[in-house]
Amino acid sequence: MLKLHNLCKIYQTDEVETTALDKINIQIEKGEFVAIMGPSGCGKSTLLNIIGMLDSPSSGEYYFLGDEIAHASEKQLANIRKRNIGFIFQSFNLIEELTVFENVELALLYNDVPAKERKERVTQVLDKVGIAHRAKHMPSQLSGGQQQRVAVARALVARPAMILADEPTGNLDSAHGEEVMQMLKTLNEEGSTIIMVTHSPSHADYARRTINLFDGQVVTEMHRAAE
Amino acid sequence: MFKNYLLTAFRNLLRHRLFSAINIVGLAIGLASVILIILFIRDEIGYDQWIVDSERIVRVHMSYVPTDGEPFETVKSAGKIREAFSNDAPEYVEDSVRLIISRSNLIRSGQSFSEVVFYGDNSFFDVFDLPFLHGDKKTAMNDVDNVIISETIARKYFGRTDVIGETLTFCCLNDKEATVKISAVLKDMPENTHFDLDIMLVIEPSRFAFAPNMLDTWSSVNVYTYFKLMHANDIAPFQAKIYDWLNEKSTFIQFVSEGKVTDILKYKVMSIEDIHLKAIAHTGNMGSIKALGDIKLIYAYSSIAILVLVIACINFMNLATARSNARAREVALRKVVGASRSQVATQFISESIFLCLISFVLALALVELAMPFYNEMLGGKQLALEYSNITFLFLLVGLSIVVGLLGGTYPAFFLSSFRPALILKANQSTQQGGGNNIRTYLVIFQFAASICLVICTAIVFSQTNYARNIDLGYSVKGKLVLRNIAAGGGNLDSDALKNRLLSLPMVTNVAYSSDVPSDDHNNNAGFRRLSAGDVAGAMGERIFLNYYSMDIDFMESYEIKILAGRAFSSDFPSDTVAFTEEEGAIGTGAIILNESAARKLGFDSPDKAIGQVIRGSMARLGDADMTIIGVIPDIYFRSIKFGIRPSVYFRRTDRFSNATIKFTTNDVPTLIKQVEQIWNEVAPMVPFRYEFVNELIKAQYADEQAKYKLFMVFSVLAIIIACLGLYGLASFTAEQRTKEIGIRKTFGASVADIILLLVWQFSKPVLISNIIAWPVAYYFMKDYLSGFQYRINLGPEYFILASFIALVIAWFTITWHAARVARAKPVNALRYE
Repeated sequence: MLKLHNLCKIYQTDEVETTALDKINIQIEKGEFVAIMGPSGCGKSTLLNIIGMLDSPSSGEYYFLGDEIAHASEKQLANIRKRNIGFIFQSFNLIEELTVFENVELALLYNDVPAKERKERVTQVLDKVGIAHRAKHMPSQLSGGQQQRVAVARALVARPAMILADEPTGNLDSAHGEEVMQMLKTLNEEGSTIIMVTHSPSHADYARRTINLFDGQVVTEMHRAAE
Repeated sequence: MFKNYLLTAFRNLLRHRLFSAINIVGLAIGLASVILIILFIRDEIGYDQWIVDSERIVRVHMSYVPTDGEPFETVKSAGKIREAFSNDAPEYVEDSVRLIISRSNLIRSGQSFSEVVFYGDNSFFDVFDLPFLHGDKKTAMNDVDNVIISETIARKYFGRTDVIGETLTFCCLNDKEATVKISAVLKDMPENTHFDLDIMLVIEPSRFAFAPNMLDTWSSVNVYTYFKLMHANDIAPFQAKIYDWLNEKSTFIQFVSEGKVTDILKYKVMSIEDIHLKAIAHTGNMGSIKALGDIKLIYAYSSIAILVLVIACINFMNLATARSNARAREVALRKVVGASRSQVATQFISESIFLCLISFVLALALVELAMPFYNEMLGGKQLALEYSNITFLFLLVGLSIVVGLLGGTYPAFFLSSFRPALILKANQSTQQGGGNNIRTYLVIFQFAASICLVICTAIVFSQTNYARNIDLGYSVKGKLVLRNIAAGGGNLDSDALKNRLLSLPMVTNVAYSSDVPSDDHNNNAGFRRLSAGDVAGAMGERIFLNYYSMDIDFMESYEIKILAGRAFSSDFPSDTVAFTEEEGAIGTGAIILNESAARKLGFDSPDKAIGQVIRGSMARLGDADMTIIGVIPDIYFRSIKFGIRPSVYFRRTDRFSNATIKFTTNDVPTLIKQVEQIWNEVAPMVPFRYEFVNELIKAQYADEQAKYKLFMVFSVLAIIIACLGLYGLASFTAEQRTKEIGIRKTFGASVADIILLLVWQFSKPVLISNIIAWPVAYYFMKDYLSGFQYRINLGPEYFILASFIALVIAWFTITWHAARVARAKPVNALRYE
């Protein structure tokens, strides 16, 4: 699916140079469920953002579905991103001014899906995450767990090959957290590649592989046997 | 504490340079506009107030509205009035004076200069207590051979001001050369006075022998009459007494068969303080000594000033509240360490006053820079910021503090209402829906005001253009008017002048006439139709028509079309009107009508008028029966603003005031030189004074032009300020929507999608603002255009155009920002750690 080779990310301010990622080498296959762990500031989110093409690396190579894209233009990246990747964030990142339905529909809108098909697919995916009854509500009227389910629906609706989740349970209580993890697990079983950043070891247990980062470097990689 | 506020304010200014600049510059432009307009208005409403006792000096205007004729209104009055009213209302009248104004030639060291000369009764300085530089007010006008001159004239002719006892020679006073002795020198009068007194002679009947009716009759309306009343509140009772006199005691009663004299003829008094702004509405501008102002213009400019200021204030409020996100943390921390809400509010209000004062200083600089251009645009006013006038300066400082309060209060209460806990919790947005809505309403208002101004500018511009390009009915190109033809006291040999001029190869025609285009003399006379064969008997109704006299070449020189009949011709010696001086005798001659006059006399078509006879009764000339030989279109001699007067044209061989030279050359300087040479030989002691017809016409619209230029300048400024605000707001909104933009990009939005999104967000208020702007502009412009007899259609194009312009400018303002935000990497927007 993707392969990172000697990938570095350096942040530069006027005086300080901070190395966020230092020579990362990772390969992730189609259908994997990978958890990325590590303490605050170790570079987890930076790594996920680069994998998700929301940010570009300072050096190194990034192969996505066989193409080297570390130096691709913003426009090219946007194109690959919208066809292949769905995102789930810790703070849900729903647009306050849009309804649940419209938030989910957004991903299809930018993929030029015709209106009729959009309606079908959004309804379908809202059903799947169990939030269809609140389609007309605004995000602010929902609980955190419900909001995250909407975010999951939005990540799924464009049927991406890979879902990136950045601490998807970070803002949720344990019961809702479990719900979301269960949902990700099901998705993975249905064939989606999932990469998830998390602080919670118990949630990392849902993944088949855990990558531990420390100060921008991969320190350990742990594989779990398939259940 | 205050020092801390100032310090934060100052640092904030520096840290947010762009927004500080937008705020300060926007407000400075707004304040500068307002100051400029205030200066203009102060000058306009201050006319004549500097004159001692101005509140109880009145001028008499005449309004004559016959039931069947053209109304005749003028600020002049009959020579008889002074005596009649003084005798009738001695309880109100303290003093009175008549004034006659004409041009005369002053001769000095063998050269002659054309000057405007005032003639006044010797009570003049009792009514107008003007400041003297030299001489004695009491005795200055005691001698008929005295002359009083202004400082400027003294300097012009003598190079100094202490010139009492020196003499000046005129050619001519009543056709005779006259030498008069300077008895006093006046200080120059301020520009905001309804007359410019430079040379003052004493009214002496023998000097007006050429127009004996002027001083002692009710028929000639050619003097200005002023009364100084006992008290300022005597004006109303004095007016009432005049009406009573007209209705009960005057000799006019016999002319009125039913109703009252005042239904038709009114002598209306007006305080001299009101003359400049209100005379037009009172009795029109005919006979006015100087160009008059217009109270409507004062209202219009006041509205513009208020609008521009409000637009600038709104910017201020919008940018301040929009910045609340950035300031929220500071507010929260101040509250955490113990600041009360009122202290925080005080801080923000003082900050906005501080900003306003900076803007004020900048505004003063802008005003100084703009002043020369502004004065020029206003047609040579001498407005200036008087720093010595402490009250005025305080007023302006006060104004900027009020602006600071207005602009600062809402943001202060908005910002001070933040709850610290909410803000200090990492991810909370301080943006509340309400703040956003209010900002949108304010932007809508700003654009409504701007669009309104643009519409008004476009319409005033089009009307001016229309007026200037309307078919006047004659050709103005290649025409030079020589004035002063009659000024030589009848000594000028007009045949010789004409022949000499025609011998120049560039000159194709020379025509003498009583008036030329743009002259606004109202020479009214009664005309009545004579039915065929009924020359002596009962006649048609008497109708008042305006008359012009001219020589044979006039129609041809001005290329005036003949609709029916023919022009004057040398083949018909009988064309010339011959008035007889014999008592009871009636002269004969030919006459040409304009279409309106033909209609008024009851002719269905121009052709039907030809060959008919009408009898004219000219006050000074006598009666004559004149055969209609031609009908011409309605030609516009005066501004089309006043419409067309039914007029008649007849040919005389008399003394004329003007000669029109039609020429065919581009080398105008040579032409002028040659014409001047001939002039100096034919009329050596008369000043050479010439004007171009096209410039005379242009000058008629100078007022309108100044009006639209000012409108344009201030509406452009309003738009600039509004756009500055929009720019600032767009950048804040873009910042505010960064997260949303990030999300949208994450899920596939392209740069174009994002730009469109932001541009649309700001197009909405601009589009909505049209709903407010259109009807308001329509209302005012309908009223404005109704002041013109001939006017453009108030079509939708102006409204659509203005809105389109506003929209395009708004787009330009926003797009740059939107593009910048849209291109940013999404990760920057979504960082939340």
